[in-house]
Amino acid sequence: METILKVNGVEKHYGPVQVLRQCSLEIQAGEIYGLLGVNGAGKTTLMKLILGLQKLDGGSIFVLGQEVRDGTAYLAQVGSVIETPSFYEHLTAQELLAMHLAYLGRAGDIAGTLQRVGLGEERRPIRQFSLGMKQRLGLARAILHRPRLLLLDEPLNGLDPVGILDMRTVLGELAEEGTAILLSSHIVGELRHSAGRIGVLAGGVIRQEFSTAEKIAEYGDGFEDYVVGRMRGETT
Amino acid sequence: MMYYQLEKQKLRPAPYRGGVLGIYLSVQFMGIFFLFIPRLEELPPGQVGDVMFYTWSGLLGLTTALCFSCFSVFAAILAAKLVVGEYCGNGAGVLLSYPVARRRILGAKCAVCCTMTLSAAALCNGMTMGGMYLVSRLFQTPPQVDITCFPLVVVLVSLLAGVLSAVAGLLAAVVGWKKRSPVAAVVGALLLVCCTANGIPFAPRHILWVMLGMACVFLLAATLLYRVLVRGIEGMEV
Repeated sequence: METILKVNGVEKHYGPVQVLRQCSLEIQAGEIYGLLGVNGAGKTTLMKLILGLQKLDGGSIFVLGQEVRDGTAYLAQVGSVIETPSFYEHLTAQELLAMHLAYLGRAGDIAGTLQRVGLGEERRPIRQFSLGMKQRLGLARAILHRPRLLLLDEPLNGLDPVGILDMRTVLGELAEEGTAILLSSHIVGELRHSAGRIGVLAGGVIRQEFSTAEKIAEYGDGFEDYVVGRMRGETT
Repeated sequence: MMYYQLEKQKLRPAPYRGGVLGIYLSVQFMGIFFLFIPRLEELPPGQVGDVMFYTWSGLLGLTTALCFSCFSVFAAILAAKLVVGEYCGNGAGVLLSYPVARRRILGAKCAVCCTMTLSAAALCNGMTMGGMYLVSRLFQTPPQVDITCFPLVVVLVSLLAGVLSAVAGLLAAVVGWKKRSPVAAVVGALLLVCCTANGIPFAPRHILWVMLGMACVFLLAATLLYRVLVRGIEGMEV
């Protein structure tokens, strides 16, 4: 199995506050890795470090074998939705995605991608979209160029139950196509359904990593309590 | 060029077209009003204090100062939207995660701000003077021509007004980015205009040289501050 993302002993602090300390994880092609943590645990920071939006204070990150410090070429292979996606609201979804492809210097199937996220028929300017539709468009922008690594930070915000189900389906399909997905959330129930492996980020480190299926088999209905305990920093 | 087009696409053109038209109409109205001031005052030509309204160079100085003031704020609004708003807003994450050198995207943004402002300001100033010439012929109130090759001077001064306004926008972008506030960019441009616009009609007969001097100072300041902006954007974290 090809390693797509390798995070190695990453350190990050904001002034005196150390957000990440010796944080490490690896994601293989076709894997959905759920990153769980309480608010402020450092999930978004880790994603920003992977995207080169913030500088590492220590450790290293490799995406498809390229260290993120060495340049931005790897970003053409990465798709992301970080926090609330923002758009140029006078454009249509098609125009926005065409612009995105031009920046990336890549080709992509705009109509097909919009169809995939349920926005195939939309011709209105983005300013007329609902929050859920914008979230879908954010996902479309992230997957348009068929990235090898997809970073999704709380992608379910604003989605209705149908949207959540659709999103889950799309993520499953992408993983089957070989995309590695790092999915962050603080909603245990969601990662339970989507992620094959879960890492609990607490105290700046991946406190525990486990196979979702194995822990569900072990704890059954107590799975969520078990995970919340790990998020709180409990070890037993 | 591709990034230039992409940056242009990010702007909704209608409000900016409307803004340019509004500025032009206002300056044109003021310019025509200036033409009739000597008649309204019924003072003999050449009297101290009125000389500006009796000569084409004086009128050129006044309309150019107006154009420069208005288009500097226009440029600051453009820069606030395209540079400050993007790098300090929610969209920064997407913009900075493209596999493109940050300096290139920033350069395209500034180029859009500068070319739009320069062309609009130069055109507005030139058209205002043209409109004033037609009205002066129509109402037989022609001011004195006190500069040789006046039409050429108008063209050059209009271009310089465009350059000054565009550079003012760039300076405003740096202020806005430093303060992380689009409002600060516009306030910065207003302060700059307050301090410098009076210099344009200061010596009407030498307006070209005055404006050339101002343009040199502005360009020098913009070059230095643009480097600060580039370094800041290249090293920025979101």
